[in-house]
Amino acid sequence: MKLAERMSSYEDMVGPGITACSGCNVELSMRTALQILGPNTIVAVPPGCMGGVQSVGWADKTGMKIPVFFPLLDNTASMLSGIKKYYERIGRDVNVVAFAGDGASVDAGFQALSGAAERGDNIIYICYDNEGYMNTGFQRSSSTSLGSWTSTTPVGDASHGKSSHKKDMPMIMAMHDIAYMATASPAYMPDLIRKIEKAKTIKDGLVYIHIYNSCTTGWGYPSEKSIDIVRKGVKSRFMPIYEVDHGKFKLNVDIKDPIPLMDYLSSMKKYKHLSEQQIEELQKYVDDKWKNLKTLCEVMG
Amino acid sequence: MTKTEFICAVGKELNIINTGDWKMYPVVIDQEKCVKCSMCFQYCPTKSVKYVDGTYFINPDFCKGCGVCIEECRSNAIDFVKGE
Ligand code: SF4
Ligand code: SF4
Repeated sequence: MKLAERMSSYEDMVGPGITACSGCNVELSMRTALQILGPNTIVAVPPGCMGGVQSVGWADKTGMKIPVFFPLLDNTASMLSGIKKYYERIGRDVNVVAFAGDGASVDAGFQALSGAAERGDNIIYICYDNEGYMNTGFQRSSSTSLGSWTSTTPVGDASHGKSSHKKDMPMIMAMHDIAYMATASPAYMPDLIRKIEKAKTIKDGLVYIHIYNSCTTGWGYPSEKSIDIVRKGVKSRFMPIYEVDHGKFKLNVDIKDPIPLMDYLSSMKKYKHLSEQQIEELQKYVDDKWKNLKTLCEVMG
Repeated sequence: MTKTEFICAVGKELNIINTGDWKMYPVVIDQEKCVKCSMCFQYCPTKSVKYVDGTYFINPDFCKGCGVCIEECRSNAIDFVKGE
């Protein structure tokens, strides 16, 4: 079936009007993921952009057509583990899903997520990575990349953006030996859709999907460039698209001929101030990570 | 399946924000230029691009006017209708 036909046959599980910024590709990712996961799903959206845009509801009204929880920033995975255990005990097969930002996954909620991964709880944990606490005013997270301007890593005489690299969360999750780990990008929709469909079929452990998103307001680019930006991220090898299915590594989007990293960095305000040295450091980071990934795909493919 | 089959509380009705109000101008597909590549459909963040009977069109109700579809359409078939 054609992609458009297939996607049209799934209902949107999110209420039609949510207050995500105009052009937000996280809204796109959340709608697409939940469309595929479907009505037999319980979702938790912790504090973060997508919690803030009223997908979790407001007052006595709900934001979704499926049950939605608004857990704490740090307990999403453990709460879902408990919910999943209950449904396993009564013998009912339900998709128990987290849609959480990088702050709630890579920083504050990491311990709960790592625990659920180690126990092998059968939940689907989707992390939307827009490199920071964007809805509270663009503070840095441990997923923010080197050199990025954020409100807590300002640019001036004493500070030149974030001084450390991004935490390599997808690889960290892969090294938990979970059932299925994948990275995805809203610019590569058929790949993203396939991975969510695959996640639904996994019943023997934790699924972690890391979506490389962006943020129009926090990164500083016009709303219509939302897809173009993340496509450049993938094409410059900054956002590698791969999966680890029960220990088998596979590169899904092989970038044989990367575009210059500068094409990506220069398309937004976030990196406008970068020095030559910072650009070199970023390039080295990207090259090293890519080489490492290629090796893993060869050796553990 | 009704919502009450689950153990968590859910609101009785949907909280809906009228995001259709956000746009400056309506966004429209020129059907003559459209080559049905589905890019606008895949990338619209609000899922306002609909596909019915082989045709793509934009439902204006919740379209925020972000311009993603305009930018991604390689046939230049989509644009704002800026009016008189
Ligand atoms: S992106 Fe343009 S050509 Fe492709 S389906 Fe949409 S309107 Fe038609
Ligand atoms: S302008 Fe934005 S919200 Fe409106 S149809 Fe196009 S992509 Fe969707």
